[in-house]
Amino acid sequence: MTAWHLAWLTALRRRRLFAWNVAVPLLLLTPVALSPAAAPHRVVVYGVFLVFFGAFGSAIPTVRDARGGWLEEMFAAGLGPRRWLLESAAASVLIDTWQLAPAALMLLAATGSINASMHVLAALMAALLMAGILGAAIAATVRSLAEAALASAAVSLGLIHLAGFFRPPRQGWDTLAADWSPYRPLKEALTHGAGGPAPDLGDWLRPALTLASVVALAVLTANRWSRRLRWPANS
Amino acid sequence: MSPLTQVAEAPLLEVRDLRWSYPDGTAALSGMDLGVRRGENLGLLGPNGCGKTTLLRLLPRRAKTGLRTWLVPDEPALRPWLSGRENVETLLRLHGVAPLRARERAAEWLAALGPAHDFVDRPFGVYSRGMRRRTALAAGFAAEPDLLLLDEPLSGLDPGARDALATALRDRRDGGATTVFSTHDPEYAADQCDRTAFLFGGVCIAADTPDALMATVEDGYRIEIWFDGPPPPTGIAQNFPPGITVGPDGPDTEAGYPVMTLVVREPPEALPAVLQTLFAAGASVRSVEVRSPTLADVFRALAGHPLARRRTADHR
Repeated sequence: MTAWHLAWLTALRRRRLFAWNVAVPLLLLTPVALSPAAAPHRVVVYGVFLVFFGAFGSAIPTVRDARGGWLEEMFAAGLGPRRWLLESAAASVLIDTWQLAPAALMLLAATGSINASMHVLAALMAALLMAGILGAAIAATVRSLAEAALASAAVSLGLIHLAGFFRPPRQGWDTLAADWSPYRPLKEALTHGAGGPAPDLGDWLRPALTLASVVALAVLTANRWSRRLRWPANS
Repeated sequence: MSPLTQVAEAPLLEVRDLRWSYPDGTAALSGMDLGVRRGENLGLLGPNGCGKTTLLRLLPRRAKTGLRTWLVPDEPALRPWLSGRENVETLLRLHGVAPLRARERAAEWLAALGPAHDFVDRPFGVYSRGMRRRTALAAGFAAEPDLLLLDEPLSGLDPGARDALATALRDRRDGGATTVFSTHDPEYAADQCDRTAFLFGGVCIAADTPDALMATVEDGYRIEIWFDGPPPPTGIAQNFPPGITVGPDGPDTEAGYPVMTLVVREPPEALPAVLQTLFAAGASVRSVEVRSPTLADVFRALAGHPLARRRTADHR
């Protein structure tokens, strides 16, 4: 039994919650996808919702499991923090993608492009991985579910902004940040899905490097920061 | 290290000068010295906030590599949406037990210690506190760790479950396994523990067998004598053998009968002489009860111990 198995066991066992996590994004995003709003506005709503879903979906369960002693139980069973992080993040990406894919693909209703849907799914998974790692790290710095939600929202909004969701990047560091932002592919894929231009996949190399660096850094330092998720907190 | 906390043979696990503070600086452990012997049941007794839970949670991290430990916390960390059986099986599999073996062990220990049979397959979230405790205990025993740590295992258990736990503790010890548990029930600790450690203010101030600890209580034996008629005068104590005094409250009346409490320093070998003296004085004795010192008396005595008082004050 591993963190991977546990994540899937939990997701599939809580069938009502799973269905809810499919239905709510559909209910909230379908009207946006089908609305006559301008594509950039639809992309912003989609981007914020998807990133929040990933970050909240990682931070809040992590805080809950840490406070409830479940993480302590897993670490005591010999599961290393690095393995826990990698397996949990990988499982969360797939589970979240499964839950979000119907709503995400609604945006493509207008174009019906297979190519765009592939871009959206790939960018969504990358964004969910980033949000999941971020959420786990945030969980180690907060003391309650409310703090986890607040911190996840604040950090995610900052990163979404840097990715250029809210306005086109200006010159200078703004452009540089957008070029390297791990959420930039999501913005470009959603824009494509909403009828915009197809992204240049060569431009996704830098965000991919950022994402790989964040994952590597989080994994390499997991033994240190995950101590705060254990009990007693500062032993 | 206090002589009382020394461990004769090589301990299974030992902590020396273990300290831990909460983030706000409040000390939970203030230099804990404690050894855990292989194959013993060790009880932890002490007032609320003395560091029992903190010690139990830290002990697994002080264990040597390869020593399999398992902590059953005060609030069991089980998944509310899984059944009791699934929770136990999941925990066992998390600890590397093969699926089939996990199923067998879960069934065996849930039958021995777990909640009523018709609850075993219902979601853990609907369990009462006692049923949750029993499920967590079943998981701990089913894991067959080298060192099993139980935080307040009696909390919420009915008498039948307490007996089942006692049997499980004895069986584990007879099999050579080690268990450490905290409790506020001195009688249970005296019955089930090979040794008992008393914690006050984040330190262990005494650890020994219950008998040895109870033998340290001064004036621990009491003889209660009920009379049918009027009690003898207090001055009769002068005729008792040396070392026997009338209790501080003097002769009293309980349940309608006069009663006299005698405090003795040694085991009540002098009882025949006491009765002879009373009969000679014409007293009509209805019944006699000899009360040995208990771990509760040890607790009260240690609570008055200068070290306990100082540590408790530091702790605050």
